[in-house]
Amino acid sequence: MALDIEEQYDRIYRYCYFRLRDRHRAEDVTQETFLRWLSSDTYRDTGQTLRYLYTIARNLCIDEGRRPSAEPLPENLPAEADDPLLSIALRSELDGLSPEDRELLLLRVVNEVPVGVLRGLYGVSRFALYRRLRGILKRLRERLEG
Amino acid sequence: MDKKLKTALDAAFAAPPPEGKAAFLRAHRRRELGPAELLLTQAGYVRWWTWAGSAALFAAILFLAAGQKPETVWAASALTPLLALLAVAEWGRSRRYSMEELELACRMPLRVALLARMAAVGLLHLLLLGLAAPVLALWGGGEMLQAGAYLLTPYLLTAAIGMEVSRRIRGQEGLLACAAAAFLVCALGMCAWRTWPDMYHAENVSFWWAALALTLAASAFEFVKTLKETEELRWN
Repeated sequence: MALDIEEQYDRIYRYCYFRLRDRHRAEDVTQETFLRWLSSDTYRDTGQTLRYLYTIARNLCIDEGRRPSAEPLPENLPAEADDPLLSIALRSELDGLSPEDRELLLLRVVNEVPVGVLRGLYGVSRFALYRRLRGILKRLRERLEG
Repeated sequence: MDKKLKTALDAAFAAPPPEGKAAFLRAHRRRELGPAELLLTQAGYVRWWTWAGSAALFAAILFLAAGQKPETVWAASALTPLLALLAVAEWGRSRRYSMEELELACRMPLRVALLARMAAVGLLHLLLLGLAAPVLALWGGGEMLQAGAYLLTPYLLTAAIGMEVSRRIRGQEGLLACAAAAFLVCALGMCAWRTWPDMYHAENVSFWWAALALTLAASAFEFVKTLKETEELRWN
């Protein structure tokens, strides 16, 4: 599978950023993920590239998260939302979700990771993944509308 | 999911722009082989006698096709299994010499290498049969597509049997079994023509279309099965 590194770099970086909440550490982990991927040919042609990349990133984020670090400075996030009110409400609702649900939402909806890859990453069935994702989105919608 | 929520989620998960991306990509951009380059590189690993044998068989098919005799069609058609035998022999080379595990550990995985080599040999054979079909149609009677079916059907049948056999029987015995299968298909063509002389006539063309569809499906099935097996080996 040919991988668009440029596109995946942004996605892996976003994933790492939301696990570590520190842009410098997230970027270090992103680059380390790609270096490990580039130095290994084992998974390059088995159609498992994305799963491999996210597995490396996740493990590196877990390791990085265990290390003590300075309190990250607040970031100026780019404001891209069409509806700023909805965006603010959504951010507060997202904080109310469990970290696992937030991660699944980020991977599937924002990073557009295929369900087949997520299935391997989480070790659950396709059906279970769809059901969990539907549940999260339903809860989010209800809270935003309510 | 509605677009509004998706946009809002994208914005909610927005991260500050990465600072070192451009420098990292510049330093670590890896050159990928394009399909044509991959094909040409792997074609270099196909043994010379596969190309030479293909050329010799093509010359023989052309010679028979231009013979203008009643047995022209079946004789030309009966030679194509030998062409398929060359492809199958190339296909099972790593397996025959028990080198597949070593090739699995190479930079170019066995699956990609096999696909590229088979694409190179298969494209050449398709081109040769495509060139032989008009000659057969011109001298042997019938239409070009019909002549193409006469040539392709035994080729695909031998390829399908050959792939199945080479998966089941390892080593030189496997190659011998493939050769036996190829000669069996040749003999089958001859016997069929002796017992049913009208089989190459225009009114029986539907039989050939059905046979072509069946052999095409069988060879595609075998091809996928063999490829999957290389993946299983890889993961083991």
